[in-house]
Amino acid sequence: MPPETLHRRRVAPWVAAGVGALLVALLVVLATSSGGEADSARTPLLGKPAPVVQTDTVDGEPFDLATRRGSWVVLNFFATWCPPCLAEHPELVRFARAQAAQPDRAELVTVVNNDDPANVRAFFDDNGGEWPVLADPGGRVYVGFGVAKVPETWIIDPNGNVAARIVSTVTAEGLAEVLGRLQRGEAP
Amino acid sequence: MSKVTAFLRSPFGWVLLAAVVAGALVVGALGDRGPRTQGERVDAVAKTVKCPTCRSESVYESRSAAAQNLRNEIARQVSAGRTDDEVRAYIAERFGEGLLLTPGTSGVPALVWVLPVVAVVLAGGGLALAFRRWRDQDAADARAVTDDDRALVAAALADEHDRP
Repeated sequence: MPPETLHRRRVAPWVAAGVGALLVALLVVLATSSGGEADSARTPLLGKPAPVVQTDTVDGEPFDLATRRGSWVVLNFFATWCPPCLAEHPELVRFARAQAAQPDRAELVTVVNNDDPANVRAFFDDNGGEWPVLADPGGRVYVGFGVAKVPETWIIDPNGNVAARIVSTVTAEGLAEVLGRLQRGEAP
Repeated sequence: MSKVTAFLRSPFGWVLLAAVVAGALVVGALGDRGPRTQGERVDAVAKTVKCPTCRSESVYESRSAAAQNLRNEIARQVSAGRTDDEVRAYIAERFGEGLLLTPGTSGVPALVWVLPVVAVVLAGGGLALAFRRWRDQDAADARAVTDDDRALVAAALADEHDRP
């Protein structure tokens, strides 16, 4: 066998192995990278301190989430132009009424962005809901929680940590069930 | 061979070529990092963040409410003195790494930056080895010319010369 052929036979497997290793590495990158669709209820904030929520209600009253330490807080991200939010609202009203009778009751808070405060006030007047409704005109609270679409519901534990994130609509019973599990120290 | 060609083929020519390539890479990587206004920085960061409610649009391009919120947040953080990387890290922490249009510079995503460099280095090394082998082969071939070969060539030339 000519020396040239012998040399190629020695080198070729190494070149093939190198190219194969590069392809495998690229496949690993592609397989482990996120698809970019933020539709999961998972959040990097789970178990971490909740982002700052320091703003005014649509009625102009100041609100600071930090002052709610010691209580369970349910944050609902809402808009009057969002049909699923409107469909969900009666469930939140039922949830709030049921919670009022509980010893370890959770406080419901709505956060509104990209909406007319007058429309929001009129909606709550017409459809009920006695809980604080926060205006987030610059979207600081929305970005802080990583909320891009409404509705979303988050549960904050009495230590001020994020306990659960629920994407899309909730029912009164479903939300109470998740909250109950969290209050018993179980996974949501 | 002209003097210029001789110079370019000498080791100095290769050193000059390497210096030009290295200089171009440095200028390409660092050349556009002069002082920028806050507005330019906000736009630059917004162009590297995907709009979370759109398809194939950056926060810079999209007019959606979510993109507007993110632009507002980028502007707030730039005004507060945070670096571009810190702002991007904040957004990734809230929305996930998938929202960043440029891969991270640490962990598995960093392979996207590292692998092409590794491929180029390996390819360059392979070419250098191949060129060296071909040159050695040419030299060996030249040394392999025997007296019989020379006699054969001389005879062929004489035969050619004798033809009418």
